[in-house]
Amino acid sequence: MTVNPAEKKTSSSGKRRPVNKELCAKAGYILGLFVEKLGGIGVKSAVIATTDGFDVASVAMSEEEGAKLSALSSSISAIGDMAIKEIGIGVSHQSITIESESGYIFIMDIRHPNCPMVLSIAASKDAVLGKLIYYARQVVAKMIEA
Amino acid sequence: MIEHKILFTGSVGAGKTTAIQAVSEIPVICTDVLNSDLTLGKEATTVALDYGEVSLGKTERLRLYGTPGQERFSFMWDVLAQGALGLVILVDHTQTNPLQDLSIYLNHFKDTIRKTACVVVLSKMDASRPPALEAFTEMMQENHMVYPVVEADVRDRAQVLWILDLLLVQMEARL
Amino acid sequence: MIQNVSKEEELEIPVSYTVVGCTHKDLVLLKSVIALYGTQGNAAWDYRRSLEVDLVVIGTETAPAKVVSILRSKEDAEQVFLWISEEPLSLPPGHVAIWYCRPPLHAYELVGRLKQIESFFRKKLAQQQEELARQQIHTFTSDFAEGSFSEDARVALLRWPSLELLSRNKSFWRIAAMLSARSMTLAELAEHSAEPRGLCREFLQSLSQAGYVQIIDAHERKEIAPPPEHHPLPATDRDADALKGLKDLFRRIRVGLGFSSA
Repeated sequence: MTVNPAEKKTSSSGKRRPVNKELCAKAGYILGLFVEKLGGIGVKSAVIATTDGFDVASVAMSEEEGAKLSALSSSISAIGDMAIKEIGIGVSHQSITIESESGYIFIMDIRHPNCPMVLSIAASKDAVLGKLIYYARQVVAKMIEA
Repeated sequence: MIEHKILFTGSVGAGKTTAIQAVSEIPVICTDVLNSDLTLGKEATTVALDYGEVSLGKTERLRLYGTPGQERFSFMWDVLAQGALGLVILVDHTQTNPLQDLSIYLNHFKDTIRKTACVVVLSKMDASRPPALEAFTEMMQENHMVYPVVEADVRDRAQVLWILDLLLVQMEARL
Repeated sequence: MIQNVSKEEELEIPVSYTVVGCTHKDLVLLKSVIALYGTQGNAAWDYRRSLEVDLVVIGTETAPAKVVSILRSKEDAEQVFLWISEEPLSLPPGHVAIWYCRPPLHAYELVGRLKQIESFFRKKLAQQQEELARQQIHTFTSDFAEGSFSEDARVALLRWPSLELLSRNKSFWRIAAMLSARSMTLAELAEHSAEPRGLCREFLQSLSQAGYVQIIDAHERKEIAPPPEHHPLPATDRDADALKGLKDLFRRIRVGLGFSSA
């Protein structure tokens, strides 16, 4: 398994990215445990990104893929919040599930007091969604305290 | 309801959301989040899209979409460009390399631009600092792209309307 | 009139040639090969007796001193030679272009050389035509500036005008934006912009003086060179109803945005 805490990466502008090292390392550790636990039941990869689309940590995917899923999940999360607000059923989403014929992408917001983030998990159809959500919530809870 | 679309794109912090706010009849729907990239010097940044509206009678409306500026969101650029009548490219003149910024959007949207219309807007322009407006025009000429290049303050509704006018006359000229 | 230089293969090129100091056998072979070669839709080859030709073929019977004098005499005219000679001689650099063919002549080798020579002439002609086209644009542009141009001439914008030029009149911005969308005649520009014809003419003349436009020949209705960008409407939008629909749409957008002019 490859864990990529993103502390050494740079933003697209070529300058040092802003998330602090410890947070990246913790995120990498927590995600690593998560994918290890659920890897047997269909979880393929996971990424934690800032809400503005920078990867904080990614597991079991290349750095490029991590960066791509980071940007995508921040957009999707933001569109989710936008929809919830516009329709008047709350102020923000609790989770977003995207289902395809062969798998899922599951997204949850991490409302960290200093650094709001998004958790995004890619899983195959073998995944037990209930179990995945249960553990994803634990990742979110741990990250909020991180 | 018949819908039409005009797209605002361009570099981070150039004022895409602001420009849409200046002309929209509804409060602009934003996907702004806390900006964590300290190099950009702004608090909030768009990660998916901005959306404003102008009604054109009871059964028709003009949608004004704004894209995220950062290239890592280019997948949203393609989604939003579909079916657009025209494109406004805003370039923040205070950035390190505004010429290169412009070329990113011209290049990415070249097919949309060729089929529709385009206005290049330099915002936060400081005439005492290079590159001059002429440099942008010349760069576009070298790439055989002839579109309006103007300087504007997009906080001012009148100036945003002027930009949209320059966009509309191109569409009309091709009829 | 100017042909499209990019389609090289469509150029009909005449090549005149002569032969000096050649054995009878080589001469017969040369002439018959050229005659055959010329029927295959290639250049029109024409034999002449004088030295004032495009190609001089120098045979094996020519003395070296004579060869040098022939070559030297033609240095300024960018003469092309085909020399039937065993090995290339080192010659002083000049404007001559020389191909070699080993004696005695063989048809297959000769055809290869003829192809190379023909391609050389094609390129040269294409260059000349390009140069001519450039001069022509220049001439049209000058005519235009003096006001003696045909008002039917279509004008294509080559670049967005300078701030200094546009600042002369606030209407210039809109007119320039229209012209950036497609090439137009003075009349079309005046009609589209609803600005006075005089103002449009003044604008076009300013553009022309600044070298920002390309004039497309009024009579030929043929573009000398492709304009920098072409923006055709999608075919589906071309029918009259759709056209009217779009016109109305743009008017409604103007009203919706609250343009005072709308």
